[in-house]
Amino acid sequence: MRKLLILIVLLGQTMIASAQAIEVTSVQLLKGTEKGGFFHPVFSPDGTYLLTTGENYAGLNHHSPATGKVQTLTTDAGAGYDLRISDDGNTILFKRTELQNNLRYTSLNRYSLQEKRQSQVAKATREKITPVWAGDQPAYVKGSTLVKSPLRASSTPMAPVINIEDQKMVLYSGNQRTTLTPNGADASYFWASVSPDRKHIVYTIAGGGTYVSGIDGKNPVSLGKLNAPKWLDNQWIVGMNDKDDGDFVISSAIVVATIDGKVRQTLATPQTPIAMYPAASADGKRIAFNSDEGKIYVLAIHIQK
Amino acid sequence: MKTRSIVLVWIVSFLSCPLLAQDLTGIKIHINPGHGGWDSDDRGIATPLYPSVGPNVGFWESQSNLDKGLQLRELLEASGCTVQMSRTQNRTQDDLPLSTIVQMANEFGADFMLSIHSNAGAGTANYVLMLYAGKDIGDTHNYPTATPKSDESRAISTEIAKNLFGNQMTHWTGAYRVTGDKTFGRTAMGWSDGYGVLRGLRVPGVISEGAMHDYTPETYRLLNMEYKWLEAWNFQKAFCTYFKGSEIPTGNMAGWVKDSRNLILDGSYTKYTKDVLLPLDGATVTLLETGETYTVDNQRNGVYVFKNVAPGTYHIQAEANGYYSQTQEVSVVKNQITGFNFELNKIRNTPPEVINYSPKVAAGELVECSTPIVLEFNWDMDEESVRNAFSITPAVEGKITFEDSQFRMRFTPDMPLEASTLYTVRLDKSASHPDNQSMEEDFIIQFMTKSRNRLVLLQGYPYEGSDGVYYKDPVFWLIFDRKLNTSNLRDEIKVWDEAGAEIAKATRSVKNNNVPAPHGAFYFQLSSALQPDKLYKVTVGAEVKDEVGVKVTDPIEIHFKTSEVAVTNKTVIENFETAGKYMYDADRSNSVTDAAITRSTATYLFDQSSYQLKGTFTADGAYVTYKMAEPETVVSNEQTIGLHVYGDMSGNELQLLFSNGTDAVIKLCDLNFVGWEFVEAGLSSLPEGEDFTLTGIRVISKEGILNKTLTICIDNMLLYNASTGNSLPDTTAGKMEIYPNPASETIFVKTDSDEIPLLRLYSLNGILWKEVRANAIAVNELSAGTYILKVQIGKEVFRKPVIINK
Repeated sequence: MRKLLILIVLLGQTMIASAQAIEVTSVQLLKGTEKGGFFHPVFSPDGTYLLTTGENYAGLNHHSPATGKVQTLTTDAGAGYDLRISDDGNTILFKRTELQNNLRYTSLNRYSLQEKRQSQVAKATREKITPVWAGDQPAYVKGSTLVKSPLRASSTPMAPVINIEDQKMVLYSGNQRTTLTPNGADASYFWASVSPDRKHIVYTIAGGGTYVSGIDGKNPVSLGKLNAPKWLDNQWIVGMNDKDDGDFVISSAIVVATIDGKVRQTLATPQTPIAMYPAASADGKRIAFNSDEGKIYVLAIHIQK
Repeated sequence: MKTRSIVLVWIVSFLSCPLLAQDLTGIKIHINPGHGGWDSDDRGIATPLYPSVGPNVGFWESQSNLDKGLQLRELLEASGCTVQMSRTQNRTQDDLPLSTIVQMANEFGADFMLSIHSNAGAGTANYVLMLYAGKDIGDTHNYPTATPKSDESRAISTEIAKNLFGNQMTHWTGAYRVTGDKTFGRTAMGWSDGYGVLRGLRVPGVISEGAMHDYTPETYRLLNMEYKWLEAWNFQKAFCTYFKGSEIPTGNMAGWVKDSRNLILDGSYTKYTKDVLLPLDGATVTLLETGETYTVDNQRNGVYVFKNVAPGTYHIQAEANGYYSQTQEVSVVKNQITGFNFELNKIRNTPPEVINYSPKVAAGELVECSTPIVLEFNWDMDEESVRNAFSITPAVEGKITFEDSQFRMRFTPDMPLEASTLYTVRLDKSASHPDNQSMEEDFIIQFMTKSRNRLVLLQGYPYEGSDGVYYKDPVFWLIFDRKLNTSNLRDEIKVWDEAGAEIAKATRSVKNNNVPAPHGAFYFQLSSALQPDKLYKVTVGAEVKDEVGVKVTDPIEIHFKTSEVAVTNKTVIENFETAGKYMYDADRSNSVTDAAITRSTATYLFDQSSYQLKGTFTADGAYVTYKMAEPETVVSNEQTIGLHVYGDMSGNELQLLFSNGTDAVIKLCDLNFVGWEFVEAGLSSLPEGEDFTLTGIRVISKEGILNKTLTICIDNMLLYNASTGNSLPDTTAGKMEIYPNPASETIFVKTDSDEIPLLRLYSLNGILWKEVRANAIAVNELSAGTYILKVQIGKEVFRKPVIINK
């Protein structure tokens, strides 16, 4: 009986070891963030820089991992929420919130890294604005309308975009606008995005965890609790498993999962017990996240194929 | 005013007031009803009404928050507002992660995020606390996550707080507080950076702690759905004010219905001001102009609410079974809650009478002197008339108090009633209830008191003036004439050092009433050692009482001095480390059973062991002898023998036995102590010039409370040529004259005080022999010997050794 138990334990260890499909090869504190105050990291498409913002999405900071240089691009309120970087990495579409007569208005702006200046794309409005890139041209969803530049057409087609409207997912693909409610119309959807290969959607519903469905919203697969999910590649999702006591977050781990929900792995982040809001580089080789006090860490990872 | 006139006035006032509806069109509010489910973190609050809470039973903050949130959603949506709720049910799975709630509000693009909560204040506090996202004005702390929406959050939160604080149905223990969550978290909670439900918000927000749900009267109010609606309405009003959504064109009427003087009697929870009054469950309140009626629920809150009433003058009428109805004119103002609280008078339609009383005794039965005088009535009484009608003869100073909402009157004498005295208690028939009806006849009772009106300390250790108390591990044992009520002994009996600092008791050492009935006792040791050669005192408070409530009444102080009882600079003739040196001598014992002398490793003062002497005396004059197996110690009358003894307070006598062909006995000590002491006996009574051999030890049973049992230990016996010395302290020197001393008939006490002193005469082993309040004390009936006279003047106690001759 004792030998049988030992065998079971050994087999179990083998299975756990084989499940470590993602290897963390290094952990680096991003230079310039040592004192904290930097949150919600985003990789540029080519991975040469990261953007961060304040915990409450105020301002935009440009980080160059190679040099450790940190530049403040803007201090606008709301600038760090739901920003979009052009495919060439040169232009950032971001929102700016302002008060008018005690009411919140949001405008859409772009910041040119080459010209080091910002300009307005859409005037401040009470309606919700979501920035998108229609190929290489800035566009946005205002309310429930996709607004593209009437003057300049993009040289490349617009990738499908998921927007949250009235707590539901709305897919803008080509000229189609489709409301998606894979888990029912009563669910509240958020943290939604399209996979790099444009075949799947990852999203979270209130009280129901995170799911991956087809781009058409069909065949939702539960990934369990995986908050703030982002695409690591077409097969892997990275998110956070944050735990709180009702007053504040007491722990948070970076978790990766396959889109079929069959493999789930917690990545070790010994530098901080609270690792939140991960972002993935486009090549799937790096994950950035912020600590509780706003230090940015970058994990170098290797996905075992 | 007749009903037709009332309706006419109301219609005119109603029509004269234009109704412009509040408008929050386009405003987006995220409502987060805090918590979710019926779990341990969902704040289920036990109350006398619901001592055991469970799903849907009793108060739960999770449900209360949701009730407010759902009602707020309804109000806001009716105003054109767009509302998102983080949950609409109360299940564990609805208790979302904080990051999820934040993301929902952010994605929604809310103009404001309201996290609805109530707070806990240890059952005694009740105030409004708004924790808005951000930091206080003037807070210069450098937070890594400063909140850019502080100003907006603060402004809306302040509007909410002002509205909630306007609630006139509750009792606020303090003003409302509006503070940034980061400032509050850092300064009050010791957290690093604010609350999780506000961190990461890109929109303004607040955690609204609308009241304290563990202040039980508020707990009961929060069980009322309309009371929670009022909080939701106040939220809506704040949003209308901040977002300039016009005033709410209607008003509300709200308040409570309670008995005007009868009190809530369940539970001892905190109740402030009018929260002590009995809510009238099932009372009805009618808005006469509209005929709308509100029935008060059965949740012990008395709450009534009329919602969305057109501005104007109204009349509201409160009714309850057994009470006079009341009608009140009130003005309803738009955008306001008009408060009026009803205190209904009970209908008392028969004369008052005494329906029960105490003491109630059979003919010839005597009453304890501690017995309170209690009268119970059929109605709640008018206090002043009862006070005026009450008398007791012979006159007794005391206090009259009322209980059970004035249904019960209690007279508590300042001092115990006199012993063996016939008392007459009379309540004159002028005593009345609030409906101005008086009793139809006088109420009279008579009773005779027992002969005892004080609890007496008979014996104790340390006793007054004892100066050989073992400083390292003193034992305290106070024996009274009756079994003690143990409820307050630990608080009333204390040990103090010279500086007035109390010495803590070792809790687990305490033993109550560990003496044979009818006596009572309090036994304890200390949690730490005392200092050697220092003065200490034991105080016995006036409230120490026996099982029938007879109190000590006059506080007692027992002064003692510590010492190092372990004498190490003399010749040890027996160390009691080896078994079998002494044995029980049945031939030279009388009327004793279970006698034994054994080596003890449990209680000892030196090395590894002592000898324990045990036995049970079965008759007066009993004694037990323990002989030496091999007598070898030779002594002369110039020497002294000392012995370390762990006493048992039996009062029995310990003797040393000698022989040189002729037997000789010398008294070593009275066993009037407990714990270790060093005792010694000079051998001068042995014949001069003769050598004697120590042959054994004897214990003789003497009179005493504990004299039937023997349980002592002895350690290191010493032989030497001089006494270690002993003396009793005199604290009266220069403060009074005590004479004659020695005395045979009477001892007189002359003091400078006008107060007649309380004189107590104790034996050296702490037994109180006599007590009088006078300037002289007769001693002619006492045996010759040394006594301690304690003189108490006011709170000061002096003591002096006195010798009584015959």
